[in-house]
Amino acid sequence: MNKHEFITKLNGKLFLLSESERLDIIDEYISHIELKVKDGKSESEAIKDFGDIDELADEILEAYHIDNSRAKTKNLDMYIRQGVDYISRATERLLSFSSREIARLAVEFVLVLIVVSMLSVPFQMAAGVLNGFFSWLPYPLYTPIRAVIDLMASIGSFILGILIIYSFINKKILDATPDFTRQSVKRNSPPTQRETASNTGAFKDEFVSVDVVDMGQPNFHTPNEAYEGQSSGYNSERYYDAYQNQGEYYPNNSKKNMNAGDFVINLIVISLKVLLFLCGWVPGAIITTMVIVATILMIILYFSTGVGFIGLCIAGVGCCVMGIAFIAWLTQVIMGGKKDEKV
Amino acid sequence: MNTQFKKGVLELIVLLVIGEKDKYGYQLVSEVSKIVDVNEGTIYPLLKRLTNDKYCESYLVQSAEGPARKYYKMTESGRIYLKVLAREWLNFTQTVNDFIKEKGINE
Repeated sequence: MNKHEFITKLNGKLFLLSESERLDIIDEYISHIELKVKDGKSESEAIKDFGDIDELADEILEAYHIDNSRAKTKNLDMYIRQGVDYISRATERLLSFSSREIARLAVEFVLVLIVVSMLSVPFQMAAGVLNGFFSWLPYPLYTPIRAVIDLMASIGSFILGILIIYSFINKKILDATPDFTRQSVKRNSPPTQRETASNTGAFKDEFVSVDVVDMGQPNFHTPNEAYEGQSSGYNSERYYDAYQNQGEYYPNNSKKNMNAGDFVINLIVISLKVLLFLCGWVPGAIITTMVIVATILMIILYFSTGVGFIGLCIAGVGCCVMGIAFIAWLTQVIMGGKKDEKV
Repeated sequence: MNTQFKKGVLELIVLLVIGEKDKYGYQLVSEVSKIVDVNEGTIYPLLKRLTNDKYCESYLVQSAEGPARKYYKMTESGRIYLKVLAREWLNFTQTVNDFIKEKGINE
């Protein structure tokens, strides 16, 4: 296990803690590992000295007087609370992502939806085979059997779709580590003029390198990659400055170098940010979540029954675009054009 | 050594180490693990708890190499707590030692 993996895992296990508390404690582990490496131990040895990660996480939670075993008791209330917590965690995570990461996630999510819809094909085929098998039955008997088989196929692909989307959210949003920067660095002196300039340049280049045309294989250069690339050195200071500055400089860059592709991406990003902003407002979060869940359910159900594939695609995309545009317009009216500030 | 023993005495040892001089996490962990062979990961949660209970507080110091370090400093209530804890420990071990001798077990 390397440092990145360890931190990602530990962060996932400490989800009950607030973001700042989590960063605070993880910060200590990062610096411990770094100092150990400086003393001549390897990263994996340093991590091995922490012992079992589950025990460690329990120990940390215990220090905050959180009884982890209570989270394991099952009742309806607990499920609801967990569900709410899950959504708010995912939202909180999303809010900490940069615009580029959100754009990349959106593209990936669309791909996931396509994969999910394609996975309904084997279920349809199996249902077809079974229907064929029972087709010798006389008419009144055959109809209910066929209905049951079709229903089973739909439910099967539906559950598969939900599982895939669930794991997508887990993997891409909750376990992602976009901002493991040292909190302590915040108190460092501000970056020099030259550093700032070079960071701006780096981010401009990164933004331009987003591959808009080939949506099949989005090629975004995220801060994550920068982080992974420096596994040994972990130049957190530079990383932190870069991360901090991007919020400030990114919008300017996008305005300067706006072309059609950038414009579309910006539009999507702004719309998503507005959606996320709504998620931060409780009734907004409920409504948005309901709309998103309903849309996803409808799409999966529609695809799993195999009707109106292209028609639904067009209608769905149209609805989404109209909905997002409407919400964006509404928010702009309400907020007075403060749209690309840190949401 | 028995892990339950270690766990019980860890808080006292950590307080003794900070009480002597302000230390940053890694320094403290290395010093504590010289005395008890303890899982290094468990000291940070303990520090966190001591900080939350106001027995010690943390502050940041810029270091020449690398990022700022978080130092831990003992508070007044931490000193009082340490004294109580140390006295309790001494009394307790004394009683246990006497009891062991009384039952006739000698090294």
